[in-house]
Amino acid sequence: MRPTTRWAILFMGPPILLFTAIVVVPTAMALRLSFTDANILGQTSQWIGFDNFVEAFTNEHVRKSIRITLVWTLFGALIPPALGLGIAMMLQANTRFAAIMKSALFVPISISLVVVGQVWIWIYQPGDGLINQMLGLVGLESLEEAWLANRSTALWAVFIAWAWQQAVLAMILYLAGLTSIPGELVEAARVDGAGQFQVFRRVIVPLLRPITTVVLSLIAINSLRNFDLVFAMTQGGPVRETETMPMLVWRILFRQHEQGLASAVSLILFAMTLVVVGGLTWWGRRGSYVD
Amino acid sequence: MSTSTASLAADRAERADSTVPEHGTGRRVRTLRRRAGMVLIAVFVALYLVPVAGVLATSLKTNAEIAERGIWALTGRLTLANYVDVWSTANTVRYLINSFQVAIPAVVVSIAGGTLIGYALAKFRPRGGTAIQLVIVSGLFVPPQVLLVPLFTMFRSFDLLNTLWPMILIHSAVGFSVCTLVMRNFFEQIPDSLRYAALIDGASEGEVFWRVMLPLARPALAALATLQFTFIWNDFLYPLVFTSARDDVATIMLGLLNVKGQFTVAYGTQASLAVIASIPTVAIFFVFQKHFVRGLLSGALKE
Repeated sequence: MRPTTRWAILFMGPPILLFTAIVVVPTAMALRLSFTDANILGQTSQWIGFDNFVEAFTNEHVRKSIRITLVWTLFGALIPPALGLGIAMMLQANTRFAAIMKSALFVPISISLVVVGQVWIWIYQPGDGLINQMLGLVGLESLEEAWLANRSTALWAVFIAWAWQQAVLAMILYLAGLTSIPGELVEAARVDGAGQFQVFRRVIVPLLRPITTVVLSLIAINSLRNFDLVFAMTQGGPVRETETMPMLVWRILFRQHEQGLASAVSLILFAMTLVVVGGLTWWGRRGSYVD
Repeated sequence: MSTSTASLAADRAERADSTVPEHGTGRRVRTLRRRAGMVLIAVFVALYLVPVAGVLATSLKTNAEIAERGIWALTGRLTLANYVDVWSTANTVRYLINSFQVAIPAVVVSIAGGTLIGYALAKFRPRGGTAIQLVIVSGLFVPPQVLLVPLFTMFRSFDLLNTLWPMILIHSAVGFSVCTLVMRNFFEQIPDSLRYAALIDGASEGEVFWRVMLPLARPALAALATLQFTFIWNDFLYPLVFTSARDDVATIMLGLLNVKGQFTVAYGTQASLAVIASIPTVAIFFVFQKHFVRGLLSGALKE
């Protein structure tokens, strides 16, 4: 054995053992469970092959939650990064105001989604909710709504609260990316006659591509994992309109007690995450100028 | 450095701009654009200020006043009564201690383990290192829901349900993924010659790691500490699953969630508990904000 191999084992051994016990083995156990009809904790279970996966792809509630999760991920990949880039460009100036805002904007991403959910419930609630009060103030009482209880607005209401926080995450990363763009490049483009929009499209956006890949990957993972905020705001309701996949897994586990099906759905979510992040990584490498 | 060159370039561009003679329409367009920019900034400030200020203001109003005038009313006397109330009656202090008892060991273990794995992968380059890295980093993509049932069974058989151990163990292990990614990328950038020089001077691999490499890694470690502490402190899924039976082992986020579920608990009380629960993470972000961004980028970009 090479001496460095011995050192490698000494360094990596203990943490890898813990990781295996807490992550690798349970994932394998979940995979096994997904092929069984396990339903009450601890009871032995029957092997039923792919039945849970067939059930997952034919059951209307599972299909609906897959749809909700995909729509969420798509809009999550569009709106918060765009907002974040916009805010970052606004705050790029070296002013006192920008400096204060940059610090203040760490608050939304350092607070828990329980707290975020709580404030947005207060914003959306009927009666003394902020939105309805403002509508009343300008004489638009007819538009007042129980935003989180209405089947057609609930999902977007939760999404907006989530985008509010994720935009800041994107903003912080883009801000770091913007400061790393050499001023000479922008200046050179200007000298060559590029307008503001052209500089943005042809210089800034391509140079930010590596950062964009990071932003999109992080936000995609957060979209697919979205449990905390939904749990804090609606628990999947009204009538399962905001039931994302993690929320559905929760429901199957703790209301229906079907561990086999829950494992199958959670593994489908795992596979979706791998596909999305793999695709984004490929996209990021393909068009990257710097390697 | 790049910041200063950028601002220099901006200065130069501005000066170049001002030498162009101003025509009436050009100036008007520019003023309009500036006004539009101001409006945009005002909207955005309001969008981020209002929710945060709303919680703070609500926490400082009496529950009677909120009941009478509504949450968002601008009037009202400010008082610390809710804080005194929450601090003395509810299990708040217990919740906070529990959260620290989970977060501190889990932050330390996850970063220590991730640093060791990352260093070994980057500098010892063991056979099969790529595969090990792939498995560990894939942990980032495993939804927590996948692990719940097997872990529940496991912790029950070790009689660890309704203790803080499940959260400490899970957050430590799950944290290896991001910590390994960041630290491997960090050590990869440090030239091997540094290690060889120290080895030739008679230091062992362990000493090189501890005396030479770790001090260099301080900024990356600070970034990870911020990230991990925030993530662990704010988590409520694992406490919800593994400690739901006993209120005295609840973390602060679980406590907050339970309070929110009780409609008898008034808004002022909820808001003050939310503020108390947010103080540690907000404080850590303010202290480490610069490191945080750099660390996040170094981990994510170089892969």
